[in-house]
Amino acid sequence: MNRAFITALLACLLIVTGLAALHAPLLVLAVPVCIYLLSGILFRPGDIQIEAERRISAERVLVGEKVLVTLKVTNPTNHTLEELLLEDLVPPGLEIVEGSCRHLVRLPAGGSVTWTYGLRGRRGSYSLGRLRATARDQLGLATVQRTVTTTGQLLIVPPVLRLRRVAIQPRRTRVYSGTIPARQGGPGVEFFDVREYQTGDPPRWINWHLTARHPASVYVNQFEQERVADVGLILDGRRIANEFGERTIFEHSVLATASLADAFLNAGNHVGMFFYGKQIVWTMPGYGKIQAERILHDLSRLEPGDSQIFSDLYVPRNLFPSHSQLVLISPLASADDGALVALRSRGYHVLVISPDPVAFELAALPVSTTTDLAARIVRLQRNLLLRRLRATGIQVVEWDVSQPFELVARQFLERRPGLTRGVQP
Amino acid sequence: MTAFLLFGSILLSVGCVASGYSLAGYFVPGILLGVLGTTWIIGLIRRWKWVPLPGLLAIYGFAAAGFFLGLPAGLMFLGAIFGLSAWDLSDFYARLRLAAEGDDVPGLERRHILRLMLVLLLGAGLSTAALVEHVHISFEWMVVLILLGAWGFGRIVRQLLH
Repeated sequence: MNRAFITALLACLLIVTGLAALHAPLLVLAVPVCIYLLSGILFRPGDIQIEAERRISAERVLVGEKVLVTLKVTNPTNHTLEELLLEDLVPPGLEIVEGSCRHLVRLPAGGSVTWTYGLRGRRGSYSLGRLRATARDQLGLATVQRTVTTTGQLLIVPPVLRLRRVAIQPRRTRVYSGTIPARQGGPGVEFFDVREYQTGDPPRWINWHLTARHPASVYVNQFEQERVADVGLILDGRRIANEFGERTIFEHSVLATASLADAFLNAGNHVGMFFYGKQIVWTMPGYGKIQAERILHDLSRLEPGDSQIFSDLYVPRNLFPSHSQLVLISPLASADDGALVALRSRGYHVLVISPDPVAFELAALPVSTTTDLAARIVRLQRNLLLRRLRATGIQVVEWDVSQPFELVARQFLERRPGLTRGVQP
Repeated sequence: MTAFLLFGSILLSVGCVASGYSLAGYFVPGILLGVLGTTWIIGLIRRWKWVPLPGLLAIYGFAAAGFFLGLPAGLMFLGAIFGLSAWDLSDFYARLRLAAEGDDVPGLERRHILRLMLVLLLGAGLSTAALVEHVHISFEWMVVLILLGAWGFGRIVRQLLH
């Protein structure tokens, strides 16, 4: 309850009772209370006209890194703020790890106060632009509050694991040279085929063994061209697939997406990202470090959402032509096979990285026979789903998130997928 | 410093009013005041925000009742003054908890206590003067003064609330 109101009420009660009872001592008892109130009005703070300046040690950090926020608050007016509470409004998701975002100060006319505190937080994009100032008179009767805006943006991006190589082999590649085997003979490293010698072929390409067996002609080795490819990363952010009570496996999917995007872009590929969750987000395909940064920025803002239907998954062919590579990062829900098979039937080469939701959920449940039985049933359903996907030619990598993603990537993604080499689509 | 003065104010406030009652032979209100003081102190330690307001109202209620019963006016009055001081310091003590390490808390305390002491001394002085000196005024002047007082009081409250 407002202190001024309480004091006024008390004074009123004493005065009214004193007058009603014609009892002078009660009126006398009200005098200190009235003086107290009068002091509040005489020394009440004026309008808060402070200026705030914010400096952030880094505007973009990785999850777990500390950021130092320095605030300088100046009182340019000619009246002193006797008791000023300054609170930097830190958005949810960030935690203070050093110092304090709140200070109680006396700010003299023309004076300033500066302080620094440390923040750490979850993945996300945060606006640190609001400082709440509450001024009171010394007795705390009159309160004036104002929120001062400053500039300040903090982006906490997911960590990026450096994967050595992610072997993909889509049927369609771009014309620029890269690291993806293009299923076409030409200059390269890996042996691909032999053909008859043509004028201009370097003599070191001649396959002497074959030429000796077929002396009618001279044969040369052909190498498999390596080019860049179109890679579309599809991140599944549906709550139904990612959230299990209070726990979410989504952060693992984000980590995998960031690492895969980095690996594909480092190999020179044309990479785009599609997010299907709270909102549908497209990161238009592109090359290089700027595109990696763009994907990280978009990844930092994504949140799981209530979308349920995966069957409406539409991949625009002008961005990702048929036969290009799609990588789906999803824990997968039971009815997802239809959408993935449809993608496969449209000619896309689909790789599914699936953080294992059964192992993830089981790790948080108490051990009991009922839990074991339930886990076995769910595991069987999941294995059936994965088997159906594999049967249609979709490469599925199951990732138990208790294992580091690098380990899984090294084990399952560095090797070339088992497709017949040299076969043209 | 604030904590010391706060606990002192509570003890003095409760002590003054309770001793006034006890000296006149009213022991039950004295015990009730003792319970009130203990609850107030426990509330401060346990950070119960609701305690100071009923504490202030109870102290003023007992003091007003004491005046009606003809108990020693000095003790009742001192109890009320210290009650007001305890109520103010309780809130200030809670506000000081918002200060961070390195803030000039002793400076804030010094200025607050100085202002509070001035206000209370002025209030006590004026009240004592009013108790001692009796001015006889006519009914018409009394009505004018009451109206002026009500208007001024309303202005103060309105300004503080906005």
